[in-house]
Amino acid sequence: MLRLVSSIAAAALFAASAHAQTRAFDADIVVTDLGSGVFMLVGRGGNIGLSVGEDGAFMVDDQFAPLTPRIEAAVAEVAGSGDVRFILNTHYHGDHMGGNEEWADRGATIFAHENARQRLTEPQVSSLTGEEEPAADPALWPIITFQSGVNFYMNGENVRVMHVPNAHTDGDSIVYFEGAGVLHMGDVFWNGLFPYIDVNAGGTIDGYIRALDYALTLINEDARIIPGHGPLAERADVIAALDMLTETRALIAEHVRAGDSLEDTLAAQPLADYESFGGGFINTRRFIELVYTDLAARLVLSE
Amino acid sequence: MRKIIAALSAIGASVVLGAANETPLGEGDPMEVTDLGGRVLMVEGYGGNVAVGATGEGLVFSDAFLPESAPALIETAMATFDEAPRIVVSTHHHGDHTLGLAAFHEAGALSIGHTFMRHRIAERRFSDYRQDWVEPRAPELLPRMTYDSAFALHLGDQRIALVHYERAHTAGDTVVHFIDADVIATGDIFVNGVWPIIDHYAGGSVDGTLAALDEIIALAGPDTDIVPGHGPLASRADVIAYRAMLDEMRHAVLALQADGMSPEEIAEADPLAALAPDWRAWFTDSADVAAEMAREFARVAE
Ligand SMILES: [Zn+2]
Ligand SMILES: [Zn+2]
Repeated sequence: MLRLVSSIAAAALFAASAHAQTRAFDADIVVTDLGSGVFMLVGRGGNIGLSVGEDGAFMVDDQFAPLTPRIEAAVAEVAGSGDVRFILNTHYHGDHMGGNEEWADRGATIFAHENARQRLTEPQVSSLTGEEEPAADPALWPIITFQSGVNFYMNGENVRVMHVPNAHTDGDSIVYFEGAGVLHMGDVFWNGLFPYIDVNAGGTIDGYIRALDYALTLINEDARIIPGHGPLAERADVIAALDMLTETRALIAEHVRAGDSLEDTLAAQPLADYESFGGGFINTRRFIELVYTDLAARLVLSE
Repeated sequence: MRKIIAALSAIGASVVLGAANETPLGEGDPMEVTDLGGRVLMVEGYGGNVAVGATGEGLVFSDAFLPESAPALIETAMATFDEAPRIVVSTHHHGDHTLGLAAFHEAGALSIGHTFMRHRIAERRFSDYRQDWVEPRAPELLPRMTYDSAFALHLGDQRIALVHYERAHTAGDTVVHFIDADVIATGDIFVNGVWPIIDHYAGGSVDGTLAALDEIIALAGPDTDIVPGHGPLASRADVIAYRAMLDEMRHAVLALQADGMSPEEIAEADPLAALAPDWRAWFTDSADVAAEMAREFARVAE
């Protein structure tokens, strides 16, 4: 089930371009009540976070455009109205902001880190295929941008939106619903899966590690964590991801420092202990390639 | 070149045409509206100055005025541009810039300020100025959203940057830069023709003000319209002159301090009055500013 969602989302995961969203996506929206007016919505694409209440609905990410009517119906189910006042895009990938135009037409104000918007306005080169993808349609661009972070005070919640530098991309935000104790991590955290490091868009494994470290300072044992992909998580799952990333970084860095080629590094199977993380869109081979590419570029520069 | 357009006052249909006001506008005074071009207005009214921009996707206000004057500000801008309020910024927490926020919330606008600006009014705190506890403001008077470092609005064809400067007029100042319209609303970091307030109780400082003015001067070009927190519309040259004057005042106070004078003695000597004889006393006068500067420099030296 999880695998299915990940692989279908992957088809458009790296395309911010509008045409990728016109495929006939269809999925049921599964809603999980996390208490205090906060919900997790799972459809197709990045997991959605939702806060509802008297000040209006606040949504984190909006998946793909064709899913908008279904998401709207799910919001209406829990909020009484399908109106969404604010949307925060955790980053620029199409499976997290593909519905922006539809929601903007419905009156939502859409926020993102300034680098996320910047990347939508220019052609991007896929970190996986090396292919150039065109700039996104301007109708998809977030209209309010920030540098370090913003806070929303609504629905009795303090919603803290924090930029974490150079993790999944260079424009990632994580969102903490303080009152509810729910942290939406966007693609800075994939639960139980090797994450995609978009190295062409400023992503780095070091940034991932720092971001997860930082996330752990925000949350306690009771917190629920909405990952960009994968099932709802708890603190222990974030720790497991952090351990995996820290160990991966050390193992691959050893190969890079030794001057091993990518082929030699792959042949050494450095991540054999973490095979269980390879069941999603980013399999073990791809993950090693991404981390190797990232570290080869940065370690050579810095050492 | 600039068109002064008629505006309705909060109390009726009086119409003002002419030059900028010499004295601050009071509760019953009509607002004065200046078209700055690029679909941005400067509105002078009870509370000071507000810049309002139309974007095609809603109005953006640089401040909210007072409860008595906010509704007329909103009505005037809506009537001029046929758009609804979308964003209202608070350049800082002082009441003349923020107590009108409730009317903006009612009109559906999203209110935005710097994190410190909201913190200052959202928490119960002990005021050294009043020597008493100050209660938090009512929820409808608090911004719904705060930012820390920098913030940008890309609404329609109008790009608007919100920039925070450290410890200037307060610790929570925001400058609103209408990039495409070439208009900068400075809040009270820059006031035109009046003695400034540097609110050290809320983290403001002379040195921070000078640094912020340098940044504003760098953002502006020769044709930029500068909307001061209070006083008539200004140009980059006016900000440069104001910055030079503040620096001269700073040196005048430092010189007396070097002679061993206390802030009280410096206030008594009133060394700044002669430097800016045209500035109007307002919440502060020349002696207050001298004393305030002397206290800040003494604190810094400690
Ligand atoms: Zn992503
Ligand atoms: Zn002020």
